[in-house]
Amino acid sequence: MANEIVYAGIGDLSTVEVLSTKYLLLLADRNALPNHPAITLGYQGDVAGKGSSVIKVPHAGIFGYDILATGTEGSDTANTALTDGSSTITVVQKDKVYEYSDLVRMIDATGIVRPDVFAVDAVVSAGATMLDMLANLVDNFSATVGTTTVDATIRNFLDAITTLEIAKVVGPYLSILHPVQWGDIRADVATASGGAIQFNSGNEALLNGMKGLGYKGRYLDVDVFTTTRVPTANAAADRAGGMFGAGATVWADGTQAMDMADSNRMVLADKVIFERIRSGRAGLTALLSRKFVGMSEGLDAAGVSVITDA
Amino acid sequence: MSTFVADTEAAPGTGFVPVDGPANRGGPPPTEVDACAPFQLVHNPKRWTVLGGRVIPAFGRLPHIPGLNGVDEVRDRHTGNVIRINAGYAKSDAQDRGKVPIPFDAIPAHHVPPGAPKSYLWRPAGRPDVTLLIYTKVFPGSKDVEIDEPRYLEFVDHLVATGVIQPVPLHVLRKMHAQRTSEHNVLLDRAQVVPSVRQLADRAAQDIAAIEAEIERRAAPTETKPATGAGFVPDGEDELPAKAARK
Repeated sequence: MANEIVYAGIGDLSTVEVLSTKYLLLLADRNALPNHPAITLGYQGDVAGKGSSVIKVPHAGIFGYDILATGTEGSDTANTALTDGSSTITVVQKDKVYEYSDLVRMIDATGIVRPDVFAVDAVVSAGATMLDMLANLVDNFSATVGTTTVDATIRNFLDAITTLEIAKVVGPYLSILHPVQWGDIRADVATASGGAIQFNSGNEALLNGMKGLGYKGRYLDVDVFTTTRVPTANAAADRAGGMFGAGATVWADGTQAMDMADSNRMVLADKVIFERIRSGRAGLTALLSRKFVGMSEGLDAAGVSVITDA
Repeated sequence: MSTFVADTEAAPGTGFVPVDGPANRGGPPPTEVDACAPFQLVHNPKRWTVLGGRVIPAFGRLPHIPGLNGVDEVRDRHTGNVIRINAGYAKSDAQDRGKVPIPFDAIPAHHVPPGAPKSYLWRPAGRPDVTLLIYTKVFPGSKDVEIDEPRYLEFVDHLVATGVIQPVPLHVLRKMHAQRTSEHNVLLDRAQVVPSVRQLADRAAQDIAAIEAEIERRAAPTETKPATGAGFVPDGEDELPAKAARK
Protein backbone atom coordinates (compact mmCIF):
# COMPACT_ATOMS: atom_id res chain seq x y z
CA MET A 1 0.00 0.00 0.00
CA ALA A 2 1.26 3.49 -0.80
CA ASN A 3 0.09 7.02 -1.52
CA GLU A 4 -2.65 6.97 1.05
CA ILE A 5 -3.93 10.51 1.61
CA VAL A 6 -3.40 11.05 5.30
CA TYR A 7 -3.61 14.25 7.36
CA ALA A 8 0.12 14.22 8.11
CA GLY A 9 0.85 14.28 4.41
CA ILE A 10 -1.35 17.12 3.17
CA GLY A 11 0.51 20.06 4.62
CA ASP A 12 -0.26 22.11 1.52
CA LEU A 13 -3.96 21.37 1.72
CA SER A 14 -4.56 22.10 5.40
CA THR A 15 -3.68 24.59 8.07
CA VAL A 16 -2.15 23.92 11.46
CA GLU A 17 -5.25 25.12 13.25
CA VAL A 18 -8.45 26.99 12.52
CA LEU A 19 -10.29 29.34 14.79
CA SER A 20 -13.57 28.20 16.23
CA THR A 21 -16.50 30.37 15.32
CA LYS A 22 -17.18 30.74 19.04
CA TYR A 23 -14.92 31.96 21.81
CA LEU A 24 -14.99 31.47 25.55
CA LEU A 25 -15.18 34.53 27.74
CA LEU A 26 -12.44 34.52 30.34
CA LEU A 27 -13.93 34.45 33.79
CA ALA A 28 -14.27 37.89 35.36
CA ASP A 29 -16.50 39.75 37.74
CA ARG A 30 -18.52 41.69 35.15
CA ASN A 31 -21.34 42.81 37.38
CA ALA A 32 -22.32 46.44 37.71
CA LEU A 33 -23.59 48.25 40.76
CA PRO A 34 -27.22 47.76 41.58
CA ASN A 35 -29.53 50.71 41.33
CA HIS A 36 -29.99 50.67 45.08
CA PRO A 37 -31.07 53.61 47.28
CA ALA A 38 -28.06 53.08 49.54
CA ILE A 39 -25.91 54.02 46.55
CA THR A 40 -28.05 56.27 44.38
CA LEU A 41 -28.92 58.59 47.28
CA GLY A 42 -25.20 59.22 47.66
CA TYR A 43 -24.92 60.71 44.18
CA GLN A 44 -23.70 64.30 44.43
CA GLY A 45 -24.05 65.34 40.83
CA ASP A 46 -21.97 66.08 37.79
CA VAL A 47 -18.86 68.26 37.97
CA ALA A 48 -19.44 69.60 34.45
CA GLY A 49 -19.49 73.38 34.60
CA LYS A 50 -18.85 73.46 38.36
CA GLY A 51 -15.40 75.03 38.23
CA SER A 52 -13.67 72.17 40.03
CA SER A 53 -13.25 68.44 39.84
CA VAL A 54 -13.59 68.25 43.62
CA ILE A 55 -16.97 68.27 45.36
CA LYS A 56 -17.29 68.92 49.07
CA VAL A 57 -20.30 67.20 50.58
CA PRO A 58 -21.46 68.84 53.82
CA HIS A 59 -22.72 66.71 56.72
CA ALA A 60 -25.31 68.62 58.71
CA GLY A 61 -26.88 67.79 62.06
CA ILE A 62 -30.37 69.07 61.35
CA PHE A 63 -33.94 67.72 61.17
CA GLY A 64 -34.03 66.28 64.66
CA TYR A 65 -30.33 65.79 65.25
CA ASP A 66 -30.58 68.05 68.32
CA ILE A 67 -33.75 67.83 70.38
CA LEU A 68 -35.27 70.89 71.99
CA ALA A 69 -33.92 72.08 75.31
CA THR A 70 -36.24 73.18 78.08
CA GLY A 71 -36.44 76.96 78.18
CA THR A 72 -37.11 79.20 81.12
CA GLU A 73 -39.93 81.67 80.93
CA GLY A 74 -38.59 85.21 80.81
CA SER A 75 -35.00 84.11 80.15
CA ASP A 76 -32.96 84.07 76.97
CA THR A 77 -32.58 80.64 75.43
CA ALA A 78 -28.97 79.70 74.74
CA ASN A 79 -27.81 78.91 71.24
CA THR A 80 -27.44 75.32 70.13
CA ALA A 81 -24.28 74.44 68.24
CA LEU A 82 -24.93 73.11 64.76
CA THR A 83 -22.95 69.92 64.30
CA ASP A 84 -21.33 69.57 60.91
CA GLY A 85 -18.69 67.75 58.96
CA SER A 86 -17.87 66.95 55.35
CA SER A 87 -16.67 64.47 52.79
CA THR A 88 -14.74 65.35 49.68
CA ILE A 89 -15.03 63.64 46.32
CA THR A 90 -12.29 63.97 43.73
CA VAL A 91 -13.57 63.14 40.26
CA VAL A 92 -10.83 61.57 38.14
CA GLN A 93 -10.49 60.23 34.66
CA LYS A 94 -10.79 56.45 34.33
CA ASP A 95 -9.95 55.09 30.92
CA LYS A 96 -8.42 52.40 28.78
CA VAL A 97 -7.50 52.00 25.14
CA TYR A 98 -7.49 49.01 22.82
CA GLU A 99 -5.60 49.54 19.58
CA TYR A 100 -5.53 47.24 16.60
CA SER A 101 -3.96 47.28 13.16
CA ASP A 102 -5.82 47.29 9.85
CA LEU A 103 -4.48 43.82 9.10
CA VAL A 104 -5.84 42.37 12.35
CA ARG A 105 -9.20 44.03 11.74
CA MET A 106 -9.22 42.54 8.23
CA ILE A 107 -8.48 38.95 9.16
CA ASP A 108 -10.46 38.85 12.42
CA ALA A 109 -12.61 35.75 12.31
CA THR A 110 -13.91 35.89 15.87
CA GLY A 111 -15.88 39.09 15.59
CA ILE A 112 -14.04 40.53 18.59
CA VAL A 113 -12.01 43.21 16.84
CA ARG A 114 -14.96 45.43 16.06
CA PRO A 115 -15.89 48.85 17.42
CA ASP A 116 -19.37 47.75 18.48
CA VAL A 117 -17.93 44.89 20.57
CA PHE A 118 -15.50 47.23 22.28
CA ALA A 119 -18.33 49.69 22.87
CA VAL A 120 -20.15 47.05 24.89
CA ASP A 121 -16.89 46.30 26.69
CA ALA A 122 -16.58 50.01 27.54
CA VAL A 123 -19.92 50.11 29.34
CA VAL A 124 -19.41 46.81 31.17
CA SER A 125 -15.87 47.78 32.21
CA ALA A 126 -17.03 51.16 33.53
CA GLY A 127 -19.68 49.44 35.64
CA ALA A 128 -17.12 46.98 37.01
CA THR A 129 -14.77 49.89 37.81
CA MET A 130 -17.46 51.58 39.88
CA LEU A 131 -18.08 48.32 41.70
CA ASP A 132 -14.36 47.95 42.38
CA MET A 133 -14.26 51.42 43.91
CA LEU A 134 -17.26 50.75 46.14
CA ALA A 135 -15.88 47.39 47.27
CA ASN A 136 -12.72 49.18 48.35
CA LEU A 137 -14.75 51.50 50.57
CA VAL A 138 -16.92 49.08 52.53
CA ASP A 139 -14.00 47.42 54.31
CA ASN A 140 -13.05 50.58 56.19
CA PHE A 141 -16.03 51.44 58.37
CA SER A 142 -15.24 51.94 62.06
CA ALA A 143 -17.92 49.48 63.13
CA THR A 144 -17.14 45.84 62.43
CA VAL A 145 -18.75 42.46 62.91
CA GLY A 146 -17.29 39.00 62.47
CA THR A 147 -14.29 37.19 63.87
CA THR A 148 -10.85 36.98 62.27
CA THR A 149 -10.21 33.61 60.55
CA VAL A 150 -13.68 32.36 61.46
CA ASP A 151 -16.22 31.68 58.72
CA ALA A 152 -19.05 34.20 58.36
CA THR A 153 -22.28 33.17 60.03
CA ILE A 154 -25.89 34.19 59.98
CA ARG A 155 -25.21 35.68 63.41
CA ASN A 156 -22.68 38.08 61.80
CA PHE A 157 -25.32 39.08 59.25
CA LEU A 158 -27.84 39.75 62.01
CA ASP A 159 -25.23 41.62 64.06
CA ALA A 160 -24.52 43.87 61.08
CA ILE A 161 -28.22 44.74 60.80
CA THR A 162 -28.37 45.48 64.52
CA THR A 163 -25.24 47.64 64.34
CA LEU A 164 -26.81 49.79 61.62
CA GLU A 165 -30.08 50.08 63.51
CA ILE A 166 -28.27 51.19 66.66
CA ALA A 167 -26.39 53.75 64.57
CA LYS A 168 -29.79 55.13 63.41
CA VAL A 169 -29.15 54.24 59.78
CA VAL A 170 -32.22 54.47 57.58
CA GLY A 171 -33.02 51.45 55.40
CA PRO A 172 -33.07 49.79 53.00
CA TYR A 173 -29.66 48.27 53.64
CA LEU A 174 -27.29 46.89 51.02
CA SER A 175 -24.69 44.27 51.84
CA ILE A 176 -21.65 43.83 49.60
CA LEU A 177 -19.82 40.62 50.44
CA HIS A 178 -17.14 38.40 48.98
CA PRO A 179 -18.63 35.16 47.62
CA VAL A 180 -16.63 33.27 50.26
CA GLN A 181 -18.42 35.22 52.96
CA TRP A 182 -21.84 34.73 51.41
CA GLY A 183 -21.10 31.05 50.87
CA ASP A 184 -20.21 30.68 54.54
CA ILE A 185 -23.42 32.38 55.60
CA ARG A 186 -25.38 30.12 53.24
CA ALA A 187 -23.67 27.04 54.64
CA ASP A 188 -24.38 28.20 58.17
CA VAL A 189 -28.06 28.71 57.38
CA ALA A 190 -28.22 25.32 55.66
CA THR A 191 -26.39 23.22 58.20
CA ALA A 192 -26.20 24.87 61.55
CA SER A 193 -28.94 27.42 62.00
CA GLY A 194 -31.66 27.04 64.56
CA GLY A 195 -34.04 29.36 66.31
CA ALA A 196 -36.44 31.47 64.30
CA ILE A 197 -34.11 31.71 61.30
CA GLN A 198 -34.74 28.09 60.33
CA PHE A 199 -38.40 28.91 59.62
CA ASN A 200 -37.65 32.01 57.52
CA SER A 201 -39.00 31.65 54.00
CA GLY A 202 -36.03 33.56 52.62
CA ASN A 203 -33.81 30.58 53.42
CA GLU A 204 -35.37 28.61 50.60
CA ALA A 205 -34.45 31.25 48.04
CA LEU A 206 -31.00 31.54 49.56
CA LEU A 207 -30.34 27.82 49.23
CA ASN A 208 -32.09 27.03 45.96
CA GLY A 209 -31.35 30.12 43.94
CA MET A 210 -29.04 33.10 44.02
CA LYS A 211 -26.20 31.39 42.11
CA GLY A 212 -23.30 33.25 40.55
CA LEU A 213 -21.96 36.66 41.42
CA GLY A 214 -23.80 39.95 41.55
CA TYR A 215 -27.22 40.64 43.01
CA LYS A 216 -28.28 37.70 45.15
CA GLY A 217 -31.69 38.95 46.16
CA ARG A 218 -33.14 40.22 49.39
CA TYR A 219 -32.49 38.24 52.54
CA LEU A 220 -33.77 39.28 55.98
CA ASP A 221 -34.85 42.51 54.30
CA VAL A 222 -31.27 43.32 53.24
CA ASP A 223 -30.27 43.42 49.57
CA VAL A 224 -27.20 41.25 49.06
CA PHE A 225 -24.59 41.72 46.33
CA THR A 226 -21.47 39.60 45.99
CA THR A 227 -18.26 40.48 44.22
CA THR A 228 -14.73 39.12 44.20
CA ARG A 229 -13.56 42.72 44.31
CA VAL A 230 -14.12 42.79 48.09
CA PRO A 231 -10.60 43.22 49.51
CA THR A 232 -8.74 41.15 52.07
CA ALA A 233 -8.03 42.19 55.64
CA ASN A 234 -5.68 41.19 58.46
CA ALA A 235 -2.81 40.28 56.15
CA ALA A 236 -5.20 38.44 53.83
CA ALA A 237 -6.42 36.11 56.59
CA ASP A 238 -9.90 37.59 56.09
CA ARG A 239 -12.21 39.23 53.60
CA ALA A 240 -13.78 42.56 54.49
CA GLY A 241 -17.19 43.15 52.99
CA GLY A 242 -19.81 45.39 54.48
CA MET A 243 -23.40 46.42 54.97
CA PHE A 244 -24.57 50.01 54.74
CA GLY A 245 -27.45 52.39 54.21
CA ALA A 246 -27.83 55.70 52.42
CA GLY A 247 -25.13 58.22 53.28
CA ALA A 248 -22.33 55.73 53.88
CA THR A 249 -20.84 56.43 50.48
CA VAL A 250 -20.97 59.47 48.24
CA TRP A 251 -20.00 59.74 44.62
CA ALA A 252 -20.00 62.07 41.66
CA ASP A 253 -19.25 61.90 37.98
CA GLY A 254 -18.70 64.12 34.99
CA THR A 255 -20.03 64.53 31.49
CA GLN A 256 -17.75 65.81 28.78
CA ALA A 257 -19.59 68.05 26.36
CA MET A 258 -19.28 67.25 22.66
CA ASP A 259 -17.88 70.32 20.98
CA MET A 260 -19.32 69.45 17.58
CA ALA A 261 -20.99 66.62 15.77
CA ASP A 262 -18.38 63.87 15.61
CA SER A 263 -19.18 60.37 14.45
CA ASN A 264 -15.91 59.14 15.96
CA ARG A 265 -16.93 60.12 19.47
CA MET A 266 -20.03 59.35 21.44
CA VAL A 267 -21.37 59.11 24.96
CA LEU A 268 -22.61 55.63 25.77
CA ALA A 269 -24.71 54.46 28.68
CA ASP A 270 -23.66 55.58 32.14
CA LYS A 271 -21.80 58.61 30.76
CA VAL A 272 -19.05 56.48 29.25
CA ILE A 273 -17.20 58.25 26.47
CA PHE A 274 -16.24 56.04 23.56
CA GLU A 275 -13.91 57.42 20.96
CA ARG A 276 -12.36 56.07 17.77
CA ILE A 277 -8.88 57.46 17.15
CA ARG A 278 -7.51 56.70 13.73
CA SER A 279 -3.77 56.72 12.96
CA GLY A 280 -3.95 56.29 9.23
CA ARG A 281 -0.20 56.56 8.58
CA ALA A 282 0.48 53.64 10.89
CA GLY A 283 -2.63 51.74 9.89
CA LEU A 284 -3.81 51.65 13.51
CA THR A 285 -7.18 52.28 15.10
CA ALA A 286 -7.49 52.99 18.82
CA LEU A 287 -10.75 52.70 20.73
CA LEU A 288 -10.82 54.75 23.88
CA SER A 289 -13.22 54.15 26.77
CA ARG A 290 -13.39 56.90 29.38
CA LYS A 291 -15.44 57.74 32.41
CA PHE A 292 -15.09 60.54 34.94
CA VAL A 293 -15.98 59.40 38.45
CA GLY A 294 -15.06 59.80 42.11
CA MET A 295 -16.28 58.05 45.23
CA SER A 296 -15.67 58.59 48.94
CA GLU A 297 -16.79 57.48 52.34
CA GLY A 298 -19.67 59.64 53.56
CA LEU A 299 -20.99 58.98 57.05
CA ASP A 300 -18.72 56.43 58.68
CA ALA A 301 -21.43 55.31 61.08
CA ALA A 302 -23.84 54.53 58.23
CA GLY A 303 -21.92 51.36 57.42
CA VAL A 304 -20.47 48.33 59.12
CA SER A 305 -17.61 46.19 57.82
CA VAL A 306 -18.11 42.44 57.86
CA ILE A 307 -14.66 40.92 58.47
CA THR A 308 -14.57 37.13 58.38
CA ASP A 309 -12.38 34.28 57.19
CA ALA A 310 -11.17 34.50 53.59
CA MET B 1 23.42 0.85 20.94
CA SER B 2 24.00 1.39 24.63
CA THR B 3 21.96 -0.69 26.97
CA PHE B 4 19.88 0.94 29.68
CA VAL B 5 20.26 -1.74 32.33
CA ALA B 6 23.17 -3.46 33.96
CA ASP B 7 21.17 -6.41 35.23
CA THR B 8 21.56 -9.14 32.60
CA GLU B 9 18.28 -10.75 33.64
CA ALA B 10 16.23 -7.63 32.90
CA ALA B 11 14.86 -6.91 29.43
CA PRO B 12 17.21 -4.73 27.34
CA GLY B 13 16.17 -1.25 26.20
CA THR B 14 17.31 2.29 25.44
CA GLY B 15 16.81 5.66 27.04
CA PHE B 16 13.77 7.65 25.90
CA VAL B 17 13.07 11.36 25.90
CA PRO B 18 9.54 12.37 24.83
CA VAL B 19 9.25 15.24 22.41
CA ASP B 20 7.80 18.07 24.48
CA GLY B 21 6.98 20.38 21.65
CA PRO B 22 8.79 23.30 20.09
CA ALA B 23 8.30 25.63 23.06
CA ASN B 24 8.99 24.42 26.57
CA ARG B 25 7.37 26.97 28.84
CA GLY B 26 9.41 26.50 31.98
CA GLY B 27 9.58 28.50 35.18
CA PRO B 28 7.01 28.92 37.89
CA PRO B 29 3.73 30.50 36.81
CA PRO B 30 2.66 33.68 38.59
CA THR B 31 0.28 33.54 41.53
CA GLU B 32 -3.42 33.55 40.68
CA VAL B 33 -4.71 35.60 43.60
CA ASP B 34 -7.20 38.39 42.94
CA ALA B 35 -5.87 41.77 41.86
CA CYS B 36 -5.22 44.19 44.70
CA ALA B 37 -4.35 47.87 44.29
CA PRO B 38 -1.54 49.41 46.34
CA PHE B 39 -2.70 50.63 49.74
CA GLN B 40 -1.56 52.18 52.98
CA LEU B 41 -2.53 50.52 56.23
CA VAL B 42 -4.74 52.68 58.43
CA HIS B 43 -5.28 52.08 62.13
CA ASN B 44 -8.73 52.88 63.45
CA PRO B 45 -8.61 52.95 67.28
CA LYS B 46 -12.15 51.51 67.30
CA ARG B 47 -11.19 48.38 65.33
CA TRP B 48 -9.49 45.49 67.10
CA THR B 49 -9.56 41.76 66.66
CA VAL B 50 -8.02 38.57 68.03
CA LEU B 51 -5.44 36.73 65.95
CA GLY B 52 -2.99 34.08 67.08
CA GLY B 53 -4.14 34.42 70.67
CA ARG B 54 -3.39 38.15 70.72
CA VAL B 55 -5.54 41.26 70.58
CA ILE B 56 -4.33 43.23 67.57
CA PRO B 57 -5.61 46.14 65.46
CA ALA B 58 -7.98 45.27 62.63
CA PHE B 59 -6.27 47.61 60.19
CA GLY B 60 -8.20 49.30 57.45
CA ARG B 61 -6.67 50.31 54.14
CA LEU B 62 -6.26 53.52 52.26
CA PRO B 63 -6.30 52.21 48.70
CA HIS B 64 -4.18 54.13 46.22
CA ILE B 65 -6.99 54.07 43.68
CA PRO B 66 -7.45 57.43 41.94
CA GLY B 67 -10.94 58.81 42.50
CA LEU B 68 -11.40 56.95 45.78
CA ASN B 69 -11.58 58.98 49.00
CA GLY B 70 -9.89 61.94 47.33
CA VAL B 71 -6.91 60.07 45.91
CA ASP B 72 -5.77 61.88 42.79
CA GLU B 73 -3.35 61.10 39.99
CA VAL B 74 -0.81 62.89 37.82
CA ARG B 75 -0.58 61.86 34.17
CA ASP B 76 2.16 62.26 31.62
CA ARG B 77 0.99 65.05 29.31
CA HIS B 78 2.24 63.29 26.22
CA THR B 79 1.47 59.63 26.76
CA GLY B 80 -1.46 59.98 29.13
CA ASN B 81 0.05 57.34 31.40
CA VAL B 82 -0.38 57.72 35.15
CA ILE B 83 3.01 58.69 36.56
CA ARG B 84 2.13 59.44 40.17
CA ILE B 85 -0.66 58.76 42.64
CA ASN B 86 -1.43 61.56 45.09
CA ALA B 87 -2.86 60.14 48.31
CA GLY B 88 -2.03 63.16 50.47
CA TYR B 89 -5.59 64.42 50.78
CA ALA B 90 -6.99 60.96 51.51
CA LYS B 91 -4.37 60.54 54.20
CA SER B 92 -5.18 63.83 55.92
CA ASP B 93 -8.90 63.08 55.64
CA ALA B 94 -8.32 59.74 57.38
CA GLN B 95 -6.44 61.56 60.14
CA ASP B 96 -9.33 64.05 60.46
CA ARG B 97 -11.56 61.06 61.10
CA GLY B 98 -9.35 59.88 63.94
CA LYS B 99 -7.45 57.23 62.01
CA VAL B 100 -3.69 56.69 61.97
CA PRO B 101 -2.05 56.00 58.60
CA ILE B 102 0.82 53.55 59.14
CA PRO B 103 4.06 54.72 57.48
CA PHE B 104 5.22 52.24 54.86
CA ASP B 105 8.62 51.86 56.49
CA ALA B 106 7.32 51.25 60.02
CA ILE B 107 8.45 47.64 60.06
CA PRO B 108 11.11 45.93 62.14
CA ALA B 109 14.51 46.17 60.45
CA HIS B 110 14.89 42.40 60.26
CA HIS B 111 11.63 42.14 58.28
CA VAL B 112 13.11 43.93 55.29
CA PRO B 113 13.97 41.40 52.58
CA PRO B 114 17.58 41.65 51.32
CA GLY B 115 17.89 44.27 48.64
CA ALA B 116 14.26 45.36 48.94
CA PRO B 117 13.06 48.82 49.98
CA LYS B 118 11.87 49.16 53.57
CA SER B 119 8.15 48.74 53.11
CA TYR B 120 5.38 46.50 54.38
CA LEU B 121 4.17 46.04 50.81
CA TRP B 122 5.46 43.72 48.10
CA ARG B 123 4.45 42.58 44.63
CA PRO B 124 4.61 38.95 43.50
CA ALA B 125 6.62 38.31 40.33
CA GLY B 126 4.57 38.46 37.15
CA ARG B 127 1.60 40.19 38.79
CA PRO B 128 1.99 43.97 38.70
CA ASP B 129 -1.73 44.21 39.56
CA VAL B 130 -1.24 42.54 42.93
CA THR B 131 0.11 44.40 45.96
CA LEU B 132 0.21 42.57 49.29
CA LEU B 133 1.55 42.89 52.79
CA ILE B 134 4.95 41.26 53.20
CA TYR B 135 3.25 39.04 55.78
CA THR B 136 0.98 37.55 53.13
CA LYS B 137 2.40 34.51 51.35
CA VAL B 138 1.15 33.46 47.92
CA PHE B 139 2.14 30.55 45.74
CA PRO B 140 2.94 30.07 42.02
CA GLY B 141 -0.04 29.08 39.93
CA SER B 142 -2.34 29.07 42.92
CA LYS B 143 -5.01 31.22 44.53
CA ASP B 144 -3.93 30.00 47.96
CA VAL B 145 -2.89 32.59 50.52
CA GLU B 146 -1.20 32.10 53.87
CA ILE B 147 -0.44 34.60 56.59
CA ASP B 148 2.94 34.70 58.28
CA GLU B 149 1.31 35.06 61.66
CA PRO B 150 4.36 35.24 63.96
CA ARG B 151 5.99 38.00 61.91
CA TYR B 152 2.69 39.87 61.52
CA LEU B 153 2.32 39.90 65.32
CA GLU B 154 5.92 41.12 65.57
CA PHE B 155 5.01 43.92 63.18
CA VAL B 156 2.05 44.95 65.35
CA ASP B 157 4.22 44.83 68.49
CA HIS B 158 6.77 47.00 66.71
CA LEU B 159 4.11 49.60 65.87
CA VAL B 160 3.06 49.81 69.53
CA ALA B 161 6.65 49.79 70.82
CA THR B 162 7.67 52.63 68.51
CA GLY B 163 4.59 54.69 69.35
CA VAL B 164 3.10 54.63 65.87
CA ILE B 165 -0.14 53.31 67.40
CA GLN B 166 -1.40 53.17 70.94
CA PRO B 167 -2.11 49.87 72.73
CA VAL B 168 -5.68 48.64 72.80
CA PRO B 169 -7.64 50.67 75.37
CA LEU B 170 -9.05 48.80 78.36
CA HIS B 171 -12.60 49.93 77.66
CA VAL B 172 -12.34 48.37 74.20
CA LEU B 173 -11.05 45.14 75.74
CA ARG B 174 -13.95 45.06 78.17
CA LYS B 175 -16.44 45.58 75.34
CA MET B 176 -14.78 42.87 73.25
CA HIS B 177 -14.87 40.56 76.24
CA ALA B 178 -18.58 41.11 76.80
CA GLN B 179 -19.35 40.62 73.11
CA ARG B 180 -17.31 37.45 72.69
CA THR B 181 -18.73 36.03 75.93
CA SER B 182 -22.25 36.61 74.63
CA GLU B 183 -21.35 34.91 71.34
CA HIS B 184 -19.71 32.05 73.21
CA ASN B 185 -22.86 31.42 75.23
CA VAL B 186 -25.00 31.37 72.09
CA LEU B 187 -22.54 29.04 70.35
CA LEU B 188 -22.62 26.66 73.32
CA ASP B 189 -26.41 26.59 73.04
CA ARG B 190 -26.22 25.83 69.31
CA ALA B 191 -23.58 23.17 69.87
CA GLN B 192 -26.16 21.20 71.87
CA VAL B 193 -28.05 20.62 68.63
CA VAL B 194 -25.32 20.92 66.02
CA PRO B 195 -22.09 19.37 67.37
CA SER B 196 -19.87 20.93 64.71
CA VAL B 197 -20.64 24.34 66.20
CA ARG B 198 -18.57 23.22 69.16
CA GLN B 199 -15.35 24.25 67.42
CA LEU B 200 -16.71 27.77 66.95
CA ALA B 201 -17.50 27.84 70.67
CA ASP B 202 -13.97 26.64 71.42
CA ARG B 203 -12.52 29.39 69.24
CA ALA B 204 -14.68 31.96 71.05
CA ALA B 205 -13.38 30.59 74.37
CA GLN B 206 -9.79 31.00 73.12
CA ASP B 207 -10.53 34.57 72.09
CA ILE B 208 -12.03 35.31 75.50
CA ALA B 209 -8.92 33.91 77.16
CA ALA B 210 -6.73 36.08 74.94
CA ILE B 211 -8.77 39.18 75.80
CA GLU B 212 -8.67 38.36 79.51
CA ALA B 213 -4.91 37.91 79.33
CA GLU B 214 -4.59 41.32 77.68
CA ILE B 215 -6.85 42.90 80.31
CA GLU B 216 -4.73 41.36 83.07
CA ARG B 217 -1.55 42.52 81.41
CA ARG B 218 -2.89 46.03 80.97
CA ALA B 219 -4.75 46.32 84.27
CA ALA B 220 -2.41 48.94 85.72
CA PRO B 221 -4.65 51.89 86.71
CA THR B 222 -2.47 54.41 84.90
CA GLU B 223 -3.29 52.77 81.60
CA THR B 224 -7.00 53.45 81.92
CA LYS B 225 -7.54 56.88 80.49
CA PRO B 226 -11.19 57.80 80.26
CA ALA B 227 -12.09 61.01 78.51
CA THR B 228 -11.23 64.11 80.51
CA GLY B 229 -13.88 66.62 81.59
CA ALA B 230 -15.19 68.73 84.43
CA GLY B 231 -17.61 67.90 87.22
CA PHE B 232 -21.22 68.79 86.55
CA VAL B 233 -24.21 69.37 88.77
CA PRO B 234 -27.56 69.80 87.03
CA ASP B 235 -29.28 73.14 87.60
CA GLY B 236 -31.07 73.30 90.96
CA GLU B 237 -29.54 70.09 92.25
CA ASP B 238 -26.87 72.08 94.12
CA GLU B 239 -29.61 73.14 96.56
CA LEU B 240 -30.45 69.58 97.53
CA PRO B 241 -27.96 69.23 100.42
CA ALA B 242 -29.40 72.33 102.08
CA LYS B 243 -32.93 70.98 101.75
CA ALA B 244 -31.80 67.65 103.16
CA ALA B 245 -30.21 69.44 106.13
CA ARG B 246 -33.49 71.24 106.88
CA LYS B 247 -35.21 67.88 107.12
